[in-house]
Amino acid sequence: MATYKRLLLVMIEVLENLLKHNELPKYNNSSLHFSPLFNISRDDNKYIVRASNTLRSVNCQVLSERIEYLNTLNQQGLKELYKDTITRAGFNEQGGAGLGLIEMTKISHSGLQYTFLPIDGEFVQFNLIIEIDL
Amino acid sequence: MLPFYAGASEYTPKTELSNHTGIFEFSGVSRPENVSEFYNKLINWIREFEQHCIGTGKWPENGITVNFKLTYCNSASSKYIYQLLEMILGWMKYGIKPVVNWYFDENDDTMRDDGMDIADALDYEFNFLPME
Repeated sequence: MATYKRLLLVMIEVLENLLKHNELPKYNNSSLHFSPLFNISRDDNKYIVRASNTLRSVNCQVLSERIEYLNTLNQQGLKELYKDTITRAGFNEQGGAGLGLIEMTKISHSGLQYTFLPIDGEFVQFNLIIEIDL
Repeated sequence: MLPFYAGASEYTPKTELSNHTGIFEFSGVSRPENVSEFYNKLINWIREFEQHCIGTGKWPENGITVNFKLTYCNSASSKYIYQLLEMILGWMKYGIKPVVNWYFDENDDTMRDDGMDIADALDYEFNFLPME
């Protein structure tokens, strides 16, 4: 039950992020087209969740720094960051609480992997990989 | 003043807030499509309840009990739950000592951990109980 629940938690947080964070306008002046991607696979030791969505290039650095910071924290550090974030007032523009990435990192135990792939000068494809041990 | 009731949906918990008994109960899942729209209704009711009790000088006879019987709660909901409880715990200034019962399936350490994180953030003792 525990692994199933952890996988479910990550899936829902990832899917909600895909819904909330897609910054490439659906209809834009160029011929660019991008659909969010979501995939789950499994090997002998773990589930692997992969997701892709679009971001404005200017937002990459902040996101990258956030993930790199989360990946340096142990479980106690993540707990303390979670506490600090939940007590802070306000929500972001997309209605999020800023807790989703923390939750994913807590559940993963092996950190978040990510890449940015340029689409054009203004937008990138953000690819996130989260591994969950069986 | 009327109690608040919302039935469970695929995305939102069954929510029963009784101004008569002082029991506030949430059960099911919490991942509303519009989390602020759902929880702001509850926040408004909590505010109205507080004003009603102050105005009449009467709080429920058995105090305030908040029961969480959630099987899943997304991160945005956790933040609103924290805010709701912060408001309710503010009633301690009126001499009320709210009881918070956090129920979880014994095999579900994620829900238990969510409750412990919120309790820790509030610096308040919850009762952690097996889901009935």
